[in-house]
Amino acid sequence: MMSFERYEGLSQRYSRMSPFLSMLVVFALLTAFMVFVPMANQSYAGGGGWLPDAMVQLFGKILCFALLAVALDLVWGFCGILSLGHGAFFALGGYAISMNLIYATADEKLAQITDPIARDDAVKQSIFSVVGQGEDPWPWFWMLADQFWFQAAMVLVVPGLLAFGFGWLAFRSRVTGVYLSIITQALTLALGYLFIMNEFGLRGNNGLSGLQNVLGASMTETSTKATLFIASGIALMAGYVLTLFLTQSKFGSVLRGIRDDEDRIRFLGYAVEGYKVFAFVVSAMMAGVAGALFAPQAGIINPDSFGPLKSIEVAVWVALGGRGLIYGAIVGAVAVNLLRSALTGGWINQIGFGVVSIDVSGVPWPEFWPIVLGLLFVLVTLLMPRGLMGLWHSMLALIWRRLLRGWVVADADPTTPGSGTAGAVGQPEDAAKAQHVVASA
Amino acid sequence: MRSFLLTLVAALLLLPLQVKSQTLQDIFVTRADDLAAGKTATVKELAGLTAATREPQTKAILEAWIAGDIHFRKSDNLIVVVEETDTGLSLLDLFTGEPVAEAEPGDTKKVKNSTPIKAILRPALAALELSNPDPAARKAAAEQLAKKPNEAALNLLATALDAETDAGARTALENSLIIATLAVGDDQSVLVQLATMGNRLEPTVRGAVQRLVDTPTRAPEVVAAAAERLDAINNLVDLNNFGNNLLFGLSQASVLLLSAIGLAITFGVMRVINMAHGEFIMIGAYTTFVVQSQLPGMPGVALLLSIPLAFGLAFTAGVILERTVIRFLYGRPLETLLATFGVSLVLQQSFRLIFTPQNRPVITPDWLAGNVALNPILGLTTPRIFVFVVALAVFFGLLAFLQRSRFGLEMRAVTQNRPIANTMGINSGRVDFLTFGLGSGIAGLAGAVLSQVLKINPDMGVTLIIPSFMVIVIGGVGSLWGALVGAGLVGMATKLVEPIFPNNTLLATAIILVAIIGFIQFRPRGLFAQKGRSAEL
Repeated sequence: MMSFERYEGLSQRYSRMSPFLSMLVVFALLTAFMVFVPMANQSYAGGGGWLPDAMVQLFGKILCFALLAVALDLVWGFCGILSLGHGAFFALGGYAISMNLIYATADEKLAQITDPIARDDAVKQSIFSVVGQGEDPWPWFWMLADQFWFQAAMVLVVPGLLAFGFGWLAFRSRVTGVYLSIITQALTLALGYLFIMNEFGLRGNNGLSGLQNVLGASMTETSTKATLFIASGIALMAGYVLTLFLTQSKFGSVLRGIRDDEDRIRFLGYAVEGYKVFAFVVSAMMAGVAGALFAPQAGIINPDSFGPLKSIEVAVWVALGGRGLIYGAIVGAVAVNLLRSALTGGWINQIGFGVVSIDVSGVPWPEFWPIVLGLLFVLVTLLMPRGLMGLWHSMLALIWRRLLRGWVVADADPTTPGSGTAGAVGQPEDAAKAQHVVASA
Repeated sequence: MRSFLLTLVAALLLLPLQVKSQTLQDIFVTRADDLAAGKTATVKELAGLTAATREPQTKAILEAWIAGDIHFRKSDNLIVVVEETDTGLSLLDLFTGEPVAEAEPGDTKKVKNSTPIKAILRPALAALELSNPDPAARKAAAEQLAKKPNEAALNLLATALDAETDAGARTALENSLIIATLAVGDDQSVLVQLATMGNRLEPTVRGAVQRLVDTPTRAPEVVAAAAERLDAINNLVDLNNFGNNLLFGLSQASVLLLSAIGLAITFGVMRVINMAHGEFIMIGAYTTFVVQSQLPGMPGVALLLSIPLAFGLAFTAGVILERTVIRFLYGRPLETLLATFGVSLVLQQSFRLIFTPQNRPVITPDWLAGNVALNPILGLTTPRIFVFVVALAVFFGLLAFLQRSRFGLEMRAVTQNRPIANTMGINSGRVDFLTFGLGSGIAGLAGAVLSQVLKINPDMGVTLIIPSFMVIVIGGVGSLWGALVGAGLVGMATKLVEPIFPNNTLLATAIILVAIIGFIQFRPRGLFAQKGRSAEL
């Protein structure tokens, strides 16, 4: 019977990679991708590679989305907080950095004005004349918009403060579950209404656009695009490491405990609110960074980002990839966004192989995208509660059990109790108990 | 007698220059060439002469002239009334209305009726209309005369007022008389009028007083009296505006109640979060649109028909959703949220593809058009009152249904303790889908009714869902009374905050949302929180 333990250990190793091992795999893939894309585009040689510039930017944006998904996974997958407000944190980060970018872009164009005060005024006019506020004084929060590092700090500070204030209020009064989701959605909606107003001082519906100048480098250069792409990849890795560090520590155990049974953790003497607020703030800051890297690559940030769909979609990325795995969030974000680009970007012109091929270029794919996305919401929750990565691990476990196990361990007894519990295969130790609760989270 | 007096006054005062009265025959036959020549000064003179006539045809001719239907035939300058027919133009005799000839569109030309000429014709018509047997026409005439007040109009109005018996027309005459007096009366009569007029809320009257204050060519005591009166009127206007905001708050509350009450069942009673609820409302609204377009000419019948139809459609959609998706997700509220959100996306986009993203018009039937007004400021349109009545009817009907019916009993039993309910022989699966169908059906019904006050487009569900959830969250999950109070609070608060930021309803909405988030701090379970063991399930 002693052999049984050993087999189960092996089985689990196949069913779910150790977190650190999976991190290494993800990092290896990401690094290869980050080397491959600039090379294929010849970004640092003036462009012109077979990979179009637009694809570099698209991949960069998808990496930002992946970071956003990792941020949501930290609170949803590990702490059971389904925030429908992460789109807002993402947008706030984007707005924070874009204030500097739009300032710098206008400042560069008006370089012929030598008097700094006059130039500042001209910059203000060029930014705000769109909404007819060119003559008004700067809104107070634009005070240090010309300072890149200040705005970069705001990328962390603004979402962090908002998450802290909101989280502290919400968690303290024990708003949980669906309630919390609805309230976060209301918060996002309220912020969106504010940002749409011209009087708010962020150009209303126009958003901050034409973000050409990033620390003096022009976004029209392929090298700038590639650098931002690589920066997004590095940020994603950093977010991964941070999330892994947080969730694999004792802190992470408490978080998972809160996810599985908040009251029990509270009765054990942990200050649950503190843990939740901390995780929420860290997650919001990560979302802010993702937004800040996203905005220059998209060239615009506008109040659309506060739309309820934008936030709730992130949850579907995470759910599709698999919650509580970190790399699941990345897989989900990449899969959904590639699918979106395929449908809305006119990539699909033919279906079929070789001789049999149907011309479908006339099909209005972009109009079907919301329907596809909606069906994805339904199918993922109904059929794949543990996401793509969950399916993958179940498959691996099945292969191990059916094919490899008898071969590797010749003396295995197929009637041992462990081999019969097919449902539990693929579950790590603590998750066996938590399975039901995760599902209900 | 009245008409004779009016005629006399009109004849004397409108046209003091006229020496000897002319007949219509004189004007339109004898001087037809002058009319055709179209020299403004001449035509103005002739218009004045026409205005002074009091023949049976005068009114019809004035109306036709203003409308541009009086033409002259280019060949012989015959003045006629033209009427468009299938083949071309039919020329009617000016006096008898009998057809005299046919013509091609280019054969005739309109007798000049430019703005200065209409300015002569209109008051004349209004003066005539003051003796119209129809009170509504007299009212309209009084209002017309106040637009460009002069002394003649003033006297006409005063004479007409003495003889007026209809209350509505009387008010209009009084107002017009006040406006005319304030505009052209002497200082003494203006002072008397200001002292006795009372605080009238009509914007035109207020405008007349305002003009007195703004253009101080009058004696100082007149201006002072006017300013005093203006203050009093403004205070009354403010008070009424506040009352109006309250009324609108109530109306808004009824809209919210209608859209949230289905949620109170699905979210409140079943703990199923249905993000597609707004789209069920949309289904109801589009049902009204489709039924109305299938029954042209019968918008009222179509509206009444569409209410049960919308309930049925949304009920069916709800049952399908429950059986195919939601029942697999009981006990997993967050995933239910995601799945139903997906359903709402699919529904929205399908409707966008079928019905285009544009607003779809829904006709308000005649018996529902109009408004009920206490005074010129305080009032509500009839469709809003209709929505209010339906909301309350649905609320109390549902309350009675849940409290009194067998099904309501079973539903409450399943809500409180599913296993025990099962052991009592209740088929909880059946109760589940019927309850969900009921909640969805009410959403559809709400949509059919709300089509009268909301814009119908594929995004309407999105704009309704968050406020509806807010209503439930404030009221307390699982309580219909909570939904009522929650809707009242949110509706009132919205309409009382909005006037503070007149140009910015978005800011008001944002403030309300933040206030709700703050409210949750103090009553996390809402106002009507459920107590006991079932509350935590």
